[in-house]
Amino acid sequence: MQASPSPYLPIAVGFYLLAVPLVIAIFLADSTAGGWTNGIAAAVMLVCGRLLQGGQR
Amino acid sequence: MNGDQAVTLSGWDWAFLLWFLAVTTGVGLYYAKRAGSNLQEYFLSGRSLPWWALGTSIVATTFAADTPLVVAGFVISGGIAKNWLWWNFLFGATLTVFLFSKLWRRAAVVTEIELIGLRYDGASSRALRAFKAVFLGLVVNSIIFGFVTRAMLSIVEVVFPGLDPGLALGGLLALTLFYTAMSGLWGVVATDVLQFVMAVLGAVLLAALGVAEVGGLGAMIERLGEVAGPDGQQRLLSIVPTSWDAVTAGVVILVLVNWWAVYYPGAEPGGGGYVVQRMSAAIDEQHARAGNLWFVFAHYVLRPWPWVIVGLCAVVLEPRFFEAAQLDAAGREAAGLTEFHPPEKAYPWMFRFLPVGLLGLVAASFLAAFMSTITTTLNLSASYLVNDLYLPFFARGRADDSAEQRRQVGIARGAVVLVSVLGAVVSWVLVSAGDGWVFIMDLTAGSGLVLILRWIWWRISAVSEIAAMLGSAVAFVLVRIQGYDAVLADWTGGPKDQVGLLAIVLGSTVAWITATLATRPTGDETLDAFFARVRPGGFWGPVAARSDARAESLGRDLRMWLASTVFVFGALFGLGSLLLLDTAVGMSCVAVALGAGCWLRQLFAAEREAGASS
Repeated sequence: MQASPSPYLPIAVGFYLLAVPLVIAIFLADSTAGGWTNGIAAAVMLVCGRLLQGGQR
Repeated sequence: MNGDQAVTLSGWDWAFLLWFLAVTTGVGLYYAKRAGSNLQEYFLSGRSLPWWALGTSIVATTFAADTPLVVAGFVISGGIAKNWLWWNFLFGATLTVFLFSKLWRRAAVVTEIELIGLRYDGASSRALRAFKAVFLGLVVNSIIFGFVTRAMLSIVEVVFPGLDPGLALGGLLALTLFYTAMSGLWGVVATDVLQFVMAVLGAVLLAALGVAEVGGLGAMIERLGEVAGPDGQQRLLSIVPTSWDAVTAGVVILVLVNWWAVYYPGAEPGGGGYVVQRMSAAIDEQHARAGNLWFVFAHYVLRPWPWVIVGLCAVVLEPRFFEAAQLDAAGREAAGLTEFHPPEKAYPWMFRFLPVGLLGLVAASFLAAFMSTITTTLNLSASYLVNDLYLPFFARGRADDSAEQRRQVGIARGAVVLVSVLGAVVSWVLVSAGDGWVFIMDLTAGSGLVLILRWIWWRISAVSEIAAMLGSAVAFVLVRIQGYDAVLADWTGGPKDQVGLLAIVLGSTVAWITATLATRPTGDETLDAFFARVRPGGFWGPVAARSDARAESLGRDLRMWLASTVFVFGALFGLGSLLLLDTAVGMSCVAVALGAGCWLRQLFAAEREAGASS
């Protein structure tokens, strides 16, 4: 019997989608600190997406 | 840099903003079909929410777009300790977690108002339910909608210069209304989770960049002394008030009274509003309590510190915000500092230190905060109007008929539209955004204790609640409109607002105690059914004697309340003190929090053992 997908999968997809422009912005930032903070923001979004993708509840 | 120099968004930031709106709307709309099947799905997500989703949704709702600005403004005008104006609600929040979360979930209501039908009987119960459905659904939530929208208007002017604020906000509201009406609580919670992460992330990174600009936390503290002088520095950084004055007296009154007496939206005594809606939507009692505890922790411990740090950095980077906050209007005019007032302007002023990309994220996080508050307000209002007005008094179809259920969801969607129109009108006519808020708080001051005691004392009846509300209303007229608060303030020497609050609470309390004891109690049949269903602890004398149900232990729940309050306060002050490099105080507070956490764990274990043996 196949497990039904988590109802929170769309939120995970939402986090992945929000990470995309932040990843691109790493290369657009006008300072090293700006690049780093954009990278951190993108990483947090990706981690949140991964956590929600994995969880059934 | 001057206060009137606006921060402009680049093309990439605008693209991020539009991308955010598209993603949020898409995620919200994904749940439309699921939410449209019946009212349980539409208002309660099928009672299937896990703790992390419901807790995150509550905390996302509690801060509107202007909350970071207000907290940073508090720090600039009155120091960190001014946040006691809202920290005092922690006592009530943990009380709701440990005394009432499980009871609300057990009651299995859709809204807080539905409890009236379970707990009381007779015509007074029906009248109270109908009145509250209209009062909370239309009046209070329209005022909240108007308050939040009006605050957002001024934020749009500052954050998005060049845009027509009315037009921009109208478009945003239309989008929010669309997915809220379609997707119910499912869409609200899903978008809340996205929006909360965005909002917190934006605030943390803004604080980090602000600290980097100042030269580090040590340099920030040192430069605060240069700007404000030694006394000013101490006042800015102190977590508790440093001197006894009218403001401190007001804070003490709030700590002693506010959290149990005032029906403050989001911090209702005994639980209420969207907090109850989320607890009712939980998978079970344990998820309801854990989610509520996560909300309290995130709300009080995690959320405020980035905003506080941003406020302190603003004092260092643009001291004129601090100078303007120390003067009255004439003084600011004479010193040429009017553009640096109110201090809430400091938070968006700090955006100039954000890089391309992150600026778009932070700007989007403001939209996120606004949208999460609006979506909940609309869904909650619709739940009151449908569940507590339409269904008990007007519905004629069979509740288990699927066509009737879809019709009910259609009515709920119509109610969402109705409340949004009313809210828009209120936001148009509000003279000041603060007016509506103060009106709600004062008008309901004193009714909170009844809302707590109805779970604990069998003698509370519908008449008690009605008397408490009428007592508050009459006292409100005398104290605030007839102006007796000024007389009382002169007489006592205390601050007018808080002394007036005490007078309203006293008037309301006398009214409901008298009415309760002078009228008949709720009938045995209703009380017995309520007790068997909810199993509340406390003073249920004759009701408990007639029942076989095993009630909660009020003593154990109160110990959990105490332990959790100490835990959260310890964590709040520990984290703050460590950020402000006060290691000794910080580590002491963390140790206290850990000790309280261990105690709480022991109490959980005792609760499990008691449950297993019963």
